Amino acid sequence: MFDRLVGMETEYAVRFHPADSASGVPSRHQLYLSLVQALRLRLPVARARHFKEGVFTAAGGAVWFETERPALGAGLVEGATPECRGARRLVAYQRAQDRLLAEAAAASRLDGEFRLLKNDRDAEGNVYGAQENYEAQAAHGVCLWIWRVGLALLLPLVVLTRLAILLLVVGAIFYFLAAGVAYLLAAPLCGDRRRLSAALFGIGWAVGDELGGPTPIWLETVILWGARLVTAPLATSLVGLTRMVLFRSVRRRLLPFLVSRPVFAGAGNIDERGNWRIADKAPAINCVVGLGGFISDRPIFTFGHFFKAACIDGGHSLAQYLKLFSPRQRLQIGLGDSNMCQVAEYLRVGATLLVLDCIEAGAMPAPPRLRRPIRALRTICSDPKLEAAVTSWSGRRWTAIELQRFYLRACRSWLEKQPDAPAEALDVLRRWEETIDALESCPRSLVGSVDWITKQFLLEQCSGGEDERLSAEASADFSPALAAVAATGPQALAKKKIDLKYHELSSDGYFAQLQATGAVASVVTEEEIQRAMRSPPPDSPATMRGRYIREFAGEGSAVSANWDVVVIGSGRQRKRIPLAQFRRRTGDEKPPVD
Amino acid sequence: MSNVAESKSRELESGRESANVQPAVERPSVAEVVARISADSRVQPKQYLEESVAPLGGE
Repeated sequence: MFDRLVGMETEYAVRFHPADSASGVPSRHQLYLSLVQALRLRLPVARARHFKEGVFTAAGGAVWFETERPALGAGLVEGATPECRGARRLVAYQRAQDRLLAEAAAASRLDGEFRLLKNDRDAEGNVYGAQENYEAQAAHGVCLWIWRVGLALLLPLVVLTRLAILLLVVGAIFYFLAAGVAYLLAAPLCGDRRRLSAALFGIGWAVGDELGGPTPIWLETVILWGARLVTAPLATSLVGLTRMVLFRSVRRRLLPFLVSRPVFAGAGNIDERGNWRIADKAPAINCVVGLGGFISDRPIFTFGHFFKAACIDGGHSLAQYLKLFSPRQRLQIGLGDSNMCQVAEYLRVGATLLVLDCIEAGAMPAPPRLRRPIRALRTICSDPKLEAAVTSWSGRRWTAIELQRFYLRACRSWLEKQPDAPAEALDVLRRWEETIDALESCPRSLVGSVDWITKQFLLEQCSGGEDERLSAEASADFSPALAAVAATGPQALAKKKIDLKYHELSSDGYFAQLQATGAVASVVTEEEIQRAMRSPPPDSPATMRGRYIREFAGEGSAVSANWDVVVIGSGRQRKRIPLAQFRRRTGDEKPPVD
Repeated sequence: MSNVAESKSRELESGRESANVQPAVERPSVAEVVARISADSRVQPKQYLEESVAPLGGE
């Protein structure tokens, strides 16, 4: 119980305010680079050899530059915690990551104010945020064999897809060779060389940020859609196979819990029509199972990591693909908000761990099967009074609280029969029950513990009164998305600022200001966070990964790693260290001394 | 929850609370912070919203 590996990935929005109007705004890629530079002064990091740009840290986690369109200047900073055991430890590592990245952003040598926002949706409606990863039993018996046979049958398609991707890469190389020749011939005749360079190689190259994607926008669009086209058969086949057999029982039993979980884990959001919702990301979720972002799909259960293992990460070795045959895999949950409240984060992970343990122990009775899960999710999230009911296939109507109580009862009944239940499981159960009780009887008592209630409190307290500055700003030029926000009311922009600045990771952030009053409940101690900022968690593959990164970071060696393996160096010096042996709990191993 | 389970859970909680004891520091009141946030939220909100736009690019 509470023994499985669990980790979180968090995408942070970047905000930059130039020191003066004459200063330029750096690209998001430059912001990322300056953040990593500042991070290196805080703890050892090693460059990742991966399909996306990033570094691994000696604390066992990773920091990535997350972008799908670098030529358009798009990009976020993503932090991945090390894989931990238990909710409390994960919260400590998540908080350590938040703090390390926020400190690095503030310390970066840029001419302006660089801040990170730990939220899930910006004012333009772009959606990003958090994902949770739980090690879980992927399938049993017949389903497991169907999965394995399916993977074996897909192998020729995997090879063909990789060849097609290789062709795209070769095509891009040919383009750049031709563009280089064209530039050399045309440059002496061209008055504006920078414009020519931007047209041929992209604006990143032209402004000196060549690592930001030296690709013209049109070429990037062609490559992106070309990649989607050539990978579509494999992607479709994998989604079909996973939907049919993978985590089937777990998904069915977990779904109503996740759909109703925003009542305590939601971060709250003012939508583009000015409506208040209890969750930030949930209203954007549009399917139950999917790859996550392949073609605008935003699933509750994300299987994108299987797709990457098949045709991108698998480039490291066939072993990555063979890992997919294992009965225990990573269950990725895309439905969930980034939390500022420690209690909400602890319960989000802790209650999910408890429900998963109960399901895998065979102790979870069949939960109500929701008739339309995505519609049910939206219904629940659009009702802050928590009175809305959703329909199950039996015809019964359930409120979110009733659904949560179903799971609470099942977990409590199971835990009472476990004489050796860990104290943390009991603590999660108690806090979960108290939170559900408080949501029914006195939601205001959860200010500082549940994000949407805390943010709602601030919005209520800060509203009222006219402001001339706001009226003046309301007449300014807006993007269509901001114009829609502004049109929802006289104080819409100020409210939206509260909605977003609540999540800013700095002493100016509104949640941080509220925290400074002492009105915010904490779960982990300052010592736990400080330790997590320096050392990897014990009893996890991250323990060994962190040790290797600490050892090799200073040597400038390329290090690639994931949940299963660390690869150091290249060519004949290449060393591959499998981490599978550290997946099994070995007792409370001491973390490395720093 | 059983009595044993409840007492175990409470024990963990009381341990944490004692571990979380902080030295006395002067903290702002919630009312002060709310007033500060209320005033700050009205300062150039449009600029703040624009500066924090975070496209991933795949939309």
